[in-house]
Parts: sequence; structure tokens; C-alpha cells
Amino acid sequence: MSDFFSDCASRDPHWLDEAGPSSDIALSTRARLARNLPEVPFPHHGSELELQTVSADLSRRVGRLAAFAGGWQVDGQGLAAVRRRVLQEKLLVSARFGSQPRHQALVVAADLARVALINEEDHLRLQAFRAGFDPEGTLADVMAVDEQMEAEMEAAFSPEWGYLTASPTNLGTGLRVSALLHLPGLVLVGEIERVLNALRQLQFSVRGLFGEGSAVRGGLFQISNLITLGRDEQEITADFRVHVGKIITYERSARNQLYGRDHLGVEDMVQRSRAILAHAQVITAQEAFDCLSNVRLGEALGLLPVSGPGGLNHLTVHQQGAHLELAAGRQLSGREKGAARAALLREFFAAG
Amino acid sequence: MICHMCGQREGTIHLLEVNDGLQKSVWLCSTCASGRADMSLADVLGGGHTRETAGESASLASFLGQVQDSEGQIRQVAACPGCGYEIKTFQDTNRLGCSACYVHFRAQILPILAHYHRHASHLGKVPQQAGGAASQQGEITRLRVALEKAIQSENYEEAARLRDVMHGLLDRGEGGEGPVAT
Repeated sequence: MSDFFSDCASRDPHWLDEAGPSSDIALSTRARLARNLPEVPFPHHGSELELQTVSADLSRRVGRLAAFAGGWQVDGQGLAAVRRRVLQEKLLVSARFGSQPRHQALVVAADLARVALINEEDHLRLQAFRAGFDPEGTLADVMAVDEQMEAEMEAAFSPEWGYLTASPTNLGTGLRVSALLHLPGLVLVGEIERVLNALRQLQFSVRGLFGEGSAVRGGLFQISNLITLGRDEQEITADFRVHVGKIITYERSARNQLYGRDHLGVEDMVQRSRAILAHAQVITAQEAFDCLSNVRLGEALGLLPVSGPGGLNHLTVHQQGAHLELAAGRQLSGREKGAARAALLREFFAAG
Repeated sequence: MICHMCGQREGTIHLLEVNDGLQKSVWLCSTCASGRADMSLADVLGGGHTRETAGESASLASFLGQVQDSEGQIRQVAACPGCGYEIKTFQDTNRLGCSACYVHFRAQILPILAHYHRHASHLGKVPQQAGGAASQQGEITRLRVALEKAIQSENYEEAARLRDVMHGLLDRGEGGEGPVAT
């Protein structure tokens, strides 16, 4: 098994580069199952020895599943901070991975579409990713891994409350379905708060990148189900499709409305953003996220040629701080990062 | 309304909580509701404790604080015999200590589940090794929910059918638990 970080760029998740259903708006869909060992303290409450044992045992067991053949094992213990952040920036692990680095481990499938997190909030979290908006596909993928894992691990389960998890918020199915959506149209027509509040009322969690003064940055939002108990996996997924599917429809009509109302303004915004990316010498992550968002919108509206696989999603991931530092092979100051980021973006946009 | 968390920006997100018939209303601005303001895709991906759940755990903490006995004393619950976890730690972490905590702290957990999830019983996948009785329990719960829905929508024919299926399953379940005839 080679080092996961030795050729960082080649370890980009395929599902970020592929086109999927509704991929003009949905970057990716993820399904996650939380599983724990019976009677063993949950990771946040475990002793050093318990955590170490769980980590070694589960890494070995997950590693021999057919789903992870030819993949990588990454030991969270002693992992350099920059490498931890690279995993986060690639969207493979949550921000919590490594925040409490006590014997956490990661097993990544060869296609990077399946990931097992060990000793994060729960003993085991199985995740599956797909391109675009595909709740049913990701559910099928993660359930298939779970099926394989059943032969290897007895999960803490109660007939009344289902799979027992460290937090009662994950109880029952332990299933969290999430979609990463690009919603600049709803942001620009001023409808985003109303739409997201409606989703929150329906028991969905909404996370976004917010800058100063609550301004939305990058137009990217992650939407996940909150209810995990009292509904089965298919119902949770069907419900997710219905409600998140509506958001996708609203976003399409917001884009059309926006372009119909002021096509010159939209074209100007898109072309200015592209020009900044093609010529800036120093650029912050905030501005890069915003400009990439506008270019993404321009491509979806047919105002710019589509960058294709390895284009905008690859740049969105690689312009982030830890990726820039890993590529440079050293720690960078804020200004150095801004220059390295600008160089990366110029290389892509000035050539195009 | 001004955001209750930062006290500066306009609150656009409304959290309404009802505890013991007591209604509590909280307004948050989108910045506070979204949690962090630094720029990384990981913030979008996040997962787990979003600010919304943090807001809920704050209300859970007060809920747990309100657990009183008949004399108005806050009830002391013994630590989990399995892992030594104390329920008051739950107020800070929103997590339990081990799977046995769910049995030990059942009375404290039940009202919280109703707060997070609409039904407080499992529907869905049952692990293979649990099988048998566990999967039947799931089937009965599923039927009970369907029955509830049928009654609500005044579909009495369907309700009667579901009731019969459920009773059939319950009868069989009781018979099946007896000693096996040789």
C-alpha cells in the first residue's frame, strides 16, 4: 500500500470530477451509517487502551472487506496537521476528524467513493459518495458495505431504538444523507434564507460558508437529514429526495429568473470573476470561493465553456490552504498562500 | 428580532422549543446558526454537531436540569454500571458513554428522543445477528405506524387490515417464544 499523501492530486475523489444527476447544481451526495461495538465505551469516553484496541481491530476488519480492496489505510494518530486538513479539504472526513486525535483511523476504498472512519464520534462510520444528486445510489453503496461489515463486527443494537450511537441524534438507522449543493441563484435573488428556513422546519440541517455580515460565500451548502429514528432507510432517503429535490428545482428557476431579469449584470459578474481568476497575483480563499462560484454559475448558464472533469471541483479543492502547503512542501504564510493560490488559478484560467 | 447568540445581527432563523408545555423561542442570525465563519469546504461538509444541534443540546441541558422528583429535588441518577458515565456529562457533550447507557438512562433519554425524532422506536435495518425477535419487533412497529396513518386519513378498511396483520404477527410471536416441541 503506497502513502496516501505521496501523490495528493491523484488521490482526488472521482465523484467530485464526474458528472452525475443534476450535477449543474449538486456537486455530490453522501450517505453515512454510524455503528458501535456493544458495551465498549464510545470513543469520547474510552480509555487509551480501549481506543487503541478498537482502532487496530476495526482497521484490520474493515481493511479486509471486498469494498476496500486495493485502498488505503491512514492512521490518524500522529498524522501531521496539514495532512489531516488535506483529508478535510478533499471532503473525505469531517472537520471533527483529528480534532480529538485519539487513535482515529481512516480506511479509503480504491475509488475513494467509500470511506470508513474509526474512532471519530462513533466507533465506526461508513460513508459512500456519488457525483451529483443520488440519494438512492449512495444509500445502496453504503448499505452494501454495511452488509459486508456485519460478518466482521457485531453492532450495538436495540430492537426498540435501533443502532445505538454516541449521540442520540444519530440513533435508529444511524443514517445521515447529505448533498453538497451550489445555490448561487437563490442567494442572488434573495430567496436563500426563506428556502433554507423551510428546510430547517422540515428537520434538515443546513450548513454553508458564511462570511462577515452573514453574507454567503461560494454559494455552497450542505443539506442533511436530522431525523434518524422512527423512519427506515428508504423512507429517510425518499423524503430527502423529495425535499432536497425541490431546492434543486427552486435553484434552477432562480437562475432563470435572475438571467431573465438582468442578463447583462449576470454576464458581467461571471466574466469579471473569470478575469480575476485568470489574472490575480494574490487571492484569498474567500475571494477564490466566490469567483469560482460565479464561474460555475456561468458554465451552468452556458455563458462560459464547461471546464469538464478535473476542472472547477478540482480547483475548489486544491486552492485550499492545506493543499497549497502540501504542494509547496512547507508551511506558508497567509500572503504566500494567497500567491500560491493565485498561481494555481492563473495556470488554469489564463490558459483556457 | 435581534440574534440571541451574538446580540448584533438580525435574527432570521427561529427555533421554537416546547418543554413540559413551556414554550421557549430563540432567534438566530444565519452566521450564528451556521456556526463558524472561516473558509473551508470542511465547514460545509462538517457533519455532526451543527449549531442547530448545539442549540438543541442547550435546551436538553435545561430539560435534564429540570428532572425533579415529587418533592421538587433534582433527581440524582447513579452512573452507568457499564462505563461509569454520569448523565450530567450529557448536558455538556450531548453524548452517552456506551451502548449500556441507553438501558441505564432510559428514563432520561426517552423524552429527549421525542425532541429529536418523531417516533421513539426503530424502523429499518436490523443486523443479521439480532434477527428473529428483533426483526419482528421492527415489523410490528412499522405496522403500528402504518395503522396510525391509516386511521388519521380515515382509511378504515386499510386500518382494519393492518390491525389483523399485526395481531396475527403478535399471536405468532407469543407462540414462537414457547418451548420447541420435540
